[in-house]
Amino acid sequence: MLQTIVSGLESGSWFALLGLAIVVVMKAADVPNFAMAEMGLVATYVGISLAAAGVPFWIAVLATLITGAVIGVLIDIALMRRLSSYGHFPLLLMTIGLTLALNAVVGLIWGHDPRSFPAPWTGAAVQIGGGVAIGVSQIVSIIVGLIGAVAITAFFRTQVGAQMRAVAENRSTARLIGVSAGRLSAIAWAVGGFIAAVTVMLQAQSALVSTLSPASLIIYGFVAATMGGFTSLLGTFVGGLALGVIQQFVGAYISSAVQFSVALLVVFLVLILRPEGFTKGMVLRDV
Amino acid sequence: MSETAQQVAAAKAVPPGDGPSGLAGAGIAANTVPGRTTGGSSTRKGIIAIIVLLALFAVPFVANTYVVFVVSLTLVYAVSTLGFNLLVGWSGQIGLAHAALFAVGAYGSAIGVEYGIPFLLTIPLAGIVAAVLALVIGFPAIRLRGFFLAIATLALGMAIVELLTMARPLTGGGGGMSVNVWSLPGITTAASTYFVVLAVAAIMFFLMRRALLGRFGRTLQAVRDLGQLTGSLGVSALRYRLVAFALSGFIAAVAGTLYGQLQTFIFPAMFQMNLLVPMLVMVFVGGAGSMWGPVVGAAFAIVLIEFFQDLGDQQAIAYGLVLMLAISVLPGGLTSLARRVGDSRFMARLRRREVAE
Amino acid sequence: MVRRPFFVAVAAVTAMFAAACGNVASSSSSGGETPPGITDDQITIGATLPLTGTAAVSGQGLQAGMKIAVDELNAAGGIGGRKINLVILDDGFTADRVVTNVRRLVSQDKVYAVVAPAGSQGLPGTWQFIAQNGTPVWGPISPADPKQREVFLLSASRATQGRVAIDYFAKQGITKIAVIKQDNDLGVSMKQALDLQLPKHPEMQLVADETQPVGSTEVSVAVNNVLAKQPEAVLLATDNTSVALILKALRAQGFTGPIYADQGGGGTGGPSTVGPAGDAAEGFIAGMQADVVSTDNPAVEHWRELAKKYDGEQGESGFSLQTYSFVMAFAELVKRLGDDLSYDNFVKTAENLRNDPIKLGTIPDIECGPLPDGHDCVISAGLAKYTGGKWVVEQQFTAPE
Repeated sequence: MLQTIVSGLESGSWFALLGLAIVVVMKAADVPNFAMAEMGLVATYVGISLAAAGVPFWIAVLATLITGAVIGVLIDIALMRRLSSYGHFPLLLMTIGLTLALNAVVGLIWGHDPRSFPAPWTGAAVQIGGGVAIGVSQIVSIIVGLIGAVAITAFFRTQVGAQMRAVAENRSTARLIGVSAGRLSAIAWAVGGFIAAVTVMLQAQSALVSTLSPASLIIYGFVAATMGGFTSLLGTFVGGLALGVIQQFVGAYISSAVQFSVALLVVFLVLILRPEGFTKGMVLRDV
Repeated sequence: MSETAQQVAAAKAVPPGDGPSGLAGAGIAANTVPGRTTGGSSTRKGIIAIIVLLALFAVPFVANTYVVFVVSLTLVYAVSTLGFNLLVGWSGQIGLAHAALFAVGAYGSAIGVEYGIPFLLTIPLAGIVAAVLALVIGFPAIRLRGFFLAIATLALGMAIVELLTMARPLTGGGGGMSVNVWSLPGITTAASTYFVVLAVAAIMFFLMRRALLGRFGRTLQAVRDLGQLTGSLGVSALRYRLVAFALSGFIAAVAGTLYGQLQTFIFPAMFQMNLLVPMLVMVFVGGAGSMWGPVVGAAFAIVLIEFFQDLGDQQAIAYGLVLMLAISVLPGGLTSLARRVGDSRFMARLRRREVAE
Repeated sequence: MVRRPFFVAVAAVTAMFAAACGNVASSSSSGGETPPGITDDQITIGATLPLTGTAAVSGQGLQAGMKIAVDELNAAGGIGGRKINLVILDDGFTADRVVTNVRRLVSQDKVYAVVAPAGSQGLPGTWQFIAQNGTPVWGPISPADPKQREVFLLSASRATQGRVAIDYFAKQGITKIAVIKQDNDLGVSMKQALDLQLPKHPEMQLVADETQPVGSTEVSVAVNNVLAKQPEAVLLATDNTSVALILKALRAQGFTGPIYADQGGGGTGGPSTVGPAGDAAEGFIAGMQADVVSTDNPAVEHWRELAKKYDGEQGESGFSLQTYSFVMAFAELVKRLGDDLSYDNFVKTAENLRNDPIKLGTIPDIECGPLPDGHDCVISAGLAKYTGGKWVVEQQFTAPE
């Protein structure tokens, strides 16, 4: 029971973080980024390679995070910005093309075998009464997830964050009051890439990642983002955690074959009943 | 005809790149021109259509079964893209359940035939089933716009594929099921399937052309372009959006029934993102909202894959990069290139000179 | 104005029907005529392999084995004086391209036979087409047996490997087994194995049967559910990544019993599964279709010598040994055909292998027989164990009970 909850919170943290990355980019740049998990994968593989080459763990971690942010900025400047005036469809397709290309690049450079990013605590476990053991890497995922959510919320309370909100609400008004939409969208993409790198890195220190794993991670990230109505940070975070826990319980007490269907059912219900996300009205000042 | 021409002029009045940011909400509106109607009498068009049909009809007589198969596949994707384009291009709704509705056609037909329904009859039947499903999927369209609709329909499409996996007694589950291939007596299966595909494709394109270039198409575009204002138009706007969903679902499933005949063995994993992505690419390459774009898009996507066959390890990257490059350079799709050349200053000068002379 | 094109159309169609009916009219291929892909000094064979995409590692290994074999055969003068022309197409591990590629091989590249094609779930989509053309499919990689005149399976299917593993566990006195499978062809094969083999061991019980979502790295649900039923052994029917993750999760939770996966999921002989699994791979048991593990088998050592010189990826993998053996067996069969290379003689000679098997040493003896069951030519599989950082043979090639 406890093990089920912890496992659920662990994967839920990954879903929640990736959902947050999607929401941040969505708010500032109005793009549903299907390439988010692949961006994190590229950054994580850079870190894995550095660590394998003998670079100290924490420096490799730092390099991973910076890579994630840099990839985000590059994508924004080189590809996304110029498309924004053409409407939704080319933007959506561009992120899909990016997904294919990044995935293929990873396959070409690092191959398709699964890999892990071993941390000093990987494999260690904390014994809890009753013979239940909880992996340290699980606890790390959950705590980092929490920190990430708090940090992003704090970020949106800064001046830059407030401007981003203004842009999200109305582009032309934002321009009138002298906000550079370009700079803001670059920042949003950097933050998005950063969080994506954190997410996939957490997955890699606890489980395995490969060119196969982003496909399912991104869907759960989108489910989490949907639960927050693509705007609410709190809704996305809580939604992601809930999704992880629900899946574990469905798997444990109903059937492991229907876990994915349940996630889809959640999306459907949220969109039909509360398309604005289920926290609307609860948190007014939330972004 | 003149009304269409007016709309062409209206669409052109706003150059794609320089549109005000408000236009972004209207989506693809800026770069859609329904079937260019400069000059050319309808008789000449009729002749061209017949020649094209004849040329296509001749394919199995002169080519080997591999070529016949590739052309069949291209036509099936062209029909499917016709439906997808109706939804995404003409009605401006990014619905992403198309691959799943395609699967409904493939499975519906295969299961129908197993239960004794003649194959040709399963084509419209599967279409109707998918149209009803598409209506259900489109229902969120009442409240959702843009990317929200995309995510909702994507989830519903995935749910359909999951259901196909779970309906093990009917579909064979995740392991898949084989399809009984229907064939005309006396000729090879490949040729027979090809003729069925060609006939269905011709009928679908003929009907859709009539509908889209007429009042229906214009209303769809009006509903799309007005965006949030549609509320004031009342229920009928909503009805049009739902009809677009149903029609596109119908066409997707019709194409799916033919796809099943070509593949002869189907399983749910065939109809996930790995199929949806090429379908989106076909709509994009053909140009969202254009009449003959689907054929161009389908041919391009298939040829591209066959062409990249020899690139080995690099082909997956090449596919992604070519796609990204194409979107960057031509956000209106490949067919917009012709239009763009036509509208360029150079061509305008040429035309003026012709007139002067 | 509208009429004239119509008449032209009718005339053209009539002319075309008259002129070129032969191309479209269905002719029952008797199989007795001269088959395609054969000239006086060349024989063309082909395969479709996942050289890119998610199964690229296995695809490159499969390609390596074919190239090594063809180079060796051609250096020795080819098959009966005919040099082998090998056509390999890439399908990117997608089903519709497998289907397209097989059509291209048969009707455009005019191969004599399709040898060692892979493509997992896509291959069944080619069986009907193959049946119409009569082209032999020699040694497709791990599909279920279609029981078809043209198709000869040369390695123990996943189901056969599973059956051998169940027998092995029964011999160890294990009575409670659990299964974690994916809902695709892997899961179907495991179900077949259980359905066939459990009745033969009445004391053995399937205590848990869990499904692992394809592509998910979250294995704890399936693992927790399995452990709750306290099995003595666990059989896995999932891809490499999932096998590695499940191994880790089972061992982390203190499960000490044996864990099995087939050659594909276990990456027998190579690092693709045991590498990522790390310490948890100790004692892991995997199916073995080709003897890539032992170091004292002269036939295998001969291949290993050649594989070391191979210029490309994955030359020394188990996949490479597998297709190397299939091509070698193909060459041996064609030699036995003598001058009559017709498909009728091909099938007849192949079905007679039961009386005079092809013995290569690298894979179990190839003993095809008549349909319905005879085209499953190899019905024995071995088991390998990963221990002390290397693979060792745990059980020699054995047929299921």
